[in-house]
Amino acid sequence: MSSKSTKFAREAHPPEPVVGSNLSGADVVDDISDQVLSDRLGQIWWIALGCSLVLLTVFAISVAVLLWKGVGVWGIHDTVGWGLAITNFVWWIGIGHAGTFISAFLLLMSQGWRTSINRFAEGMTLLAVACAGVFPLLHLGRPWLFYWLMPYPNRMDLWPQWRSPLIWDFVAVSTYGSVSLLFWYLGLIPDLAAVRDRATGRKKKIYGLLCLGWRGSAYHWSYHQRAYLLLAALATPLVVSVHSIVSLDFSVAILPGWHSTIFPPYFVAGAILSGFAMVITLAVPLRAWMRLENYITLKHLENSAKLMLITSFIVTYGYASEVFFGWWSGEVFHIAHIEHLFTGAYSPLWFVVLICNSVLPQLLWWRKFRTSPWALFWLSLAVNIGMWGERYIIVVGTLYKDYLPSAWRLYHATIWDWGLFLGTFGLFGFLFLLFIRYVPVISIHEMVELIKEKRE
Amino acid sequence: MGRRRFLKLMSTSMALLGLSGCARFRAPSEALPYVHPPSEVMPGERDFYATTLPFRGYGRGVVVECVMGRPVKVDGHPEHPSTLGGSDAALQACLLELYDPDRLLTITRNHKPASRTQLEAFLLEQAPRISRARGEGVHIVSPPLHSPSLEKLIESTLPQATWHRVEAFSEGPVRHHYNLEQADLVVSLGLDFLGNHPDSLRLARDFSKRRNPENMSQIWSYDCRPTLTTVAADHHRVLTPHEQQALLQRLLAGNPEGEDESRLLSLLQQQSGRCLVMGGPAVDPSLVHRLNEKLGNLGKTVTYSFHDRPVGSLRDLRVALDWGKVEWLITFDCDPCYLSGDTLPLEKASNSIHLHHRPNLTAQRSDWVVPGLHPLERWGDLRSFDGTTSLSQPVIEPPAIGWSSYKLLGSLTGAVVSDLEYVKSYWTDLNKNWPQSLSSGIVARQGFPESAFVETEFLQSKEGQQVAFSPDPYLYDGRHTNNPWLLELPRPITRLAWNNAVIVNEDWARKQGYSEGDHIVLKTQHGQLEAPIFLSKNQASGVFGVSTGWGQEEAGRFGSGQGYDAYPLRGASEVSFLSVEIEKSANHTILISTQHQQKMEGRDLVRRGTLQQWGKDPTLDIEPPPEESIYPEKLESPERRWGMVIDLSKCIGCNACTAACGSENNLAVVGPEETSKGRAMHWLRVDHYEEPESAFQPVPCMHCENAPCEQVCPVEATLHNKEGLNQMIYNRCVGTRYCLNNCPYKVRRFNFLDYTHPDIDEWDNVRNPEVTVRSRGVMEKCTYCVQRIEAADIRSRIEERKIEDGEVITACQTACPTRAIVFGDLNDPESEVAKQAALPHNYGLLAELNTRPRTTYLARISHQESER
Repeated sequence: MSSKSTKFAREAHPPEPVVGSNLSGADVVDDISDQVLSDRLGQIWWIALGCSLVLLTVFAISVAVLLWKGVGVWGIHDTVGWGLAITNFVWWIGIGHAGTFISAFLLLMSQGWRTSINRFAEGMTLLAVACAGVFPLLHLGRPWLFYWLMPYPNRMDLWPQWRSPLIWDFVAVSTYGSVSLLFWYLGLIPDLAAVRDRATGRKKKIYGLLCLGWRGSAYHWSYHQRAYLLLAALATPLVVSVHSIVSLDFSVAILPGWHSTIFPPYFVAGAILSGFAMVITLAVPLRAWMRLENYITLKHLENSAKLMLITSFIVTYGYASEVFFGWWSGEVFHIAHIEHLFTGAYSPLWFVVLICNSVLPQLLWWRKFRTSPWALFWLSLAVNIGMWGERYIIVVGTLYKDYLPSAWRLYHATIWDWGLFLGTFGLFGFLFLLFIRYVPVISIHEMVELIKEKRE
Repeated sequence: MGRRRFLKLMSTSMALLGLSGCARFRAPSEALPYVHPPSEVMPGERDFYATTLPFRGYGRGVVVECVMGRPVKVDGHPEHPSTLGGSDAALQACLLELYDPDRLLTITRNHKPASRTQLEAFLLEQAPRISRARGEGVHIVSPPLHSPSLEKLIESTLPQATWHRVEAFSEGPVRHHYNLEQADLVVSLGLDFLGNHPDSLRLARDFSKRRNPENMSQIWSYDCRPTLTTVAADHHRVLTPHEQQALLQRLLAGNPEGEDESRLLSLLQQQSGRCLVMGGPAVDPSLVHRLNEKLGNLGKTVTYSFHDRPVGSLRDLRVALDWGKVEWLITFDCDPCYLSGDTLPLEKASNSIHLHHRPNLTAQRSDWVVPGLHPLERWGDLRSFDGTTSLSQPVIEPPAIGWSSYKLLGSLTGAVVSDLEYVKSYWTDLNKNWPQSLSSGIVARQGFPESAFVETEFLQSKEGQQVAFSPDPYLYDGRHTNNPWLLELPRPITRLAWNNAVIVNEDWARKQGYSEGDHIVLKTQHGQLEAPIFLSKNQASGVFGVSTGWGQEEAGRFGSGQGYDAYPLRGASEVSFLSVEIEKSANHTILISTQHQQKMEGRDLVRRGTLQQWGKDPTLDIEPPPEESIYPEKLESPERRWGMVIDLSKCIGCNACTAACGSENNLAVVGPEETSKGRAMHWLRVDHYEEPESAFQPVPCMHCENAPCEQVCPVEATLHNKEGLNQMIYNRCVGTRYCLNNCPYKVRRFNFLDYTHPDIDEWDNVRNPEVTVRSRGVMEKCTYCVQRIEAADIRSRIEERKIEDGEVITACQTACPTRAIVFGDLNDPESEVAKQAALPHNYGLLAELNTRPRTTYLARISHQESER
């Protein structure tokens, strides 16, 4: 199925193979299963887990304080009603875009190179969505009533208010989360079976349960392939829809700086930019640490880099159009908003955003840069920071000065704002470390398939 | 314990609890309600009692609303000339002092608790000596109370006593009675008659009567600091105290300097007999008198009455104490130690007794401290500024330990005086109908006798750097400092809450390299003070405005330690201006403010026009926003469309509306920290802009017909009712705060934490039972006082009639001293609000956003183009 495109890719870039050249299918199965079954990650893994546990404790404390006292422990106030929490939500959910983009969108596009990075990109997506989901729930004044945003039958015949983008958002994010989970797990079943086949003792039982009785029969494979493709077809539009709808949270509002029709494509591009940046941030150290150079090759990194370059252009176009239309509106409020971007209290951050998201990605024009992993790593970190800054500028930079100057007020995040943000890194890190330790981090069956196709 | 026994015990203790709960909260049986005939309290029904509260020594008639014997709301007495139904912030907030958890409730002697018997025994022991001396050696210190019965009591029992009437900002020996209704041109030389005057409510009402474009009077003001009057004026110039006096001399001599002054002088001469010159503390009253005399204003726009007793004698008191002449020092209802910057040697008095309802510095320094009664718990009588006498009656059972001033003063000579019996007999002796007088509040309408002007010594302020003292707009001289409603209410001009600052000229500060919040050290001959600064372009350069009432250490849990105390700068000297030296300090404070930006940033928020423009085109170029929409027209309210109009020509920015709203709608007190974070809960705020021109703009919820908040709420917790009210359903709100973000007026307020103060039991009593107390995590905002609308609706349906215009009056509207707020049904073409909404200079704030606000404004019309 994907042979043609793989061939095409190989012809276009002969020096960068998708898989290490001397691997056989059996090598792959043994190698990756062994990652899961034996303690190859060693002490470093335990140290990393310890660090993430510390951050997870920060998370737990921040949540406990928040629930005990209320959202007043944060820096938000009656002018800036949303602060770090929503910034973090949008940032994390943006990161959660690369996984599904790689797995589903590129699967449908028959981009064979996706195979070796899709598993961990999906894992990253799931965990990022989980981290993102924390914020909209906890930022509610009365978080225990979050289910009122769902249409559920109740005695009072009350329904959500469907005109509110928050409802769309709630539906979009929860759909995205559940479809991503299903997609990830479905792809995982044959691999879990492969691990089961090599495991002994208690591990065999656990993996046996998890792989849901997979025996690898032709029927199984046939159903699996169909289901996987169908889910991919379902998940692909979600890549576009989720961040479009998240962007509507802002663009439906009437505030200058939010009320803009460019937001959906601009947000989606930003999401993919930050998603691929995060893929690189995680992939570069991971391939060195877990000796995955044969699976995650320079080809993957280069392709991700190219996608970053493209999306960086779209994002830059978004910035330009925001500035242009602000001026073009001829309206005092919109023009003032543009002025505040460049001269207001948050303008230093705005320039950081421009440098990180628009200027620095221009380095990706050089092939040499694209194929040096650690250079990409540092760039991806810069883009991650830039994208976070962009969301901060959108949320806080808009709210702190809107229509009536009498209400203008600066926003200062408190220790509990930062604590929760830092804490979600703990949550992410902890779960990600468990993931790379106990789940095949490279899709075994797809790798074998790829190698076989390559041989043919 | 068995189940039955447990239930028995529980029910008994509950019943007992219920009984004890009834004990205090009833008006005593002798008090007579204003509206209902005296009867037992009806659950849920409201009783209205007329009574009189002291304000700078004068009486202010109020009506107190009681539910189940608890006062829950105070408003001006509509028939009393001192309030005419209006209020100021302190009047609205006085209930919180009645329910102050820090009230003095124990008798102490030398800081140790003493029993009532001990106090009575002490007084009984002293009484023969005091009576023998006919009060000689007794020094009474009180505010200048114009109370006929108390004056009679003191004069009859203690004829030889010295009575010090202490007042932080006294008006001098001659009362000026202004007639603003008759004045076509008013010139104020440093007198803030709208904000800082014993009769300010009455003056504000008279001012507002001449603020319609049809008969607008012209107001010129000269002041060294920004005040309510300078903002309200048509024409304002910043002048130092010295320059004000110089200007007055030039006007009097008829040789004006510059075009501006020539115009003023010619205007004054044109309007002679119909103009008025007012003088503040910086100008010589006798020169003002001569100018008014020259212009023929005497007897027309200004009359005088003479204080039969001198006011302002802190210095005399200090001298008497220093000389050891004081044998018995009786201080009540005032805090002379604090007012004099703690310079009174109280320990030199042989015996000192202090009577007050709140803790204060004088109580700390006195031998005996006797818990007093709050003005709402007292019997008494007071004369208002115009001389009208009205009665005070307790609207709640006073605490058993509380002593009235009648009782204490009587005991000095061994007489047993009941305040009720004394006041009652004083007035029944004068053939007054007691029940009727008590019920209506007013007992005698004759004013103070008119008198001629009396020249007094005037100390002219010097040239050079001056410190200018003024009372805090809400705390006044410091008597309300433990009142969180007032502490948290932003000051009209500075918008500071929970703290005060020295107001300095903006350009001066820039030149010196100071920015807002930097500390400076002020040094006068009496003392020095380090305080943060606030910048204003309407403050005269070289004049440093300090406000009193702050920085008390003994005020109680809310007010203690807030802000800085300005009194040590002037000691017992009672002056308004002093020469000062300024030094820089390295310290900096972030001032607690509810409005950080006083520039309008080129936005058309407060619309203005001159009278000439209005005459040519009454629309003042206000274009209503286009109404085309691709959406079908929403169903209009079938019966009623509630709406509000706020007249910016009349609004003086006093913030009484905000205070009234807080009292009516149970607005939470959030404290200094939360206020500094921008979380004060005021549903209605009065924005103050300094640029391009000074103006006030009250901003309540606009109740937009196309409300941006409603579209974004995910759970439909905010929506319209059929009469067009934008409602908040608290128990449906989950707290996304999206509505707040999307509100272009930023009038929504969120309960970020639990602001209900469950630890302060006393505050349960002040809450309006008709209004929900909001829990943590829900949004709230102005409701147009929906509980009053509903009450009127129920009444009208029972009586099978329509709600009449003026039947529903919102709390802000009731309180407004200038009647700048009008509320009613826009569907009724005869209603006042519909008429004002149809005026050509009516406009909607940010109406270009197609929000279709129900609250609209009348553009501010001034008499002339200000040349600034």
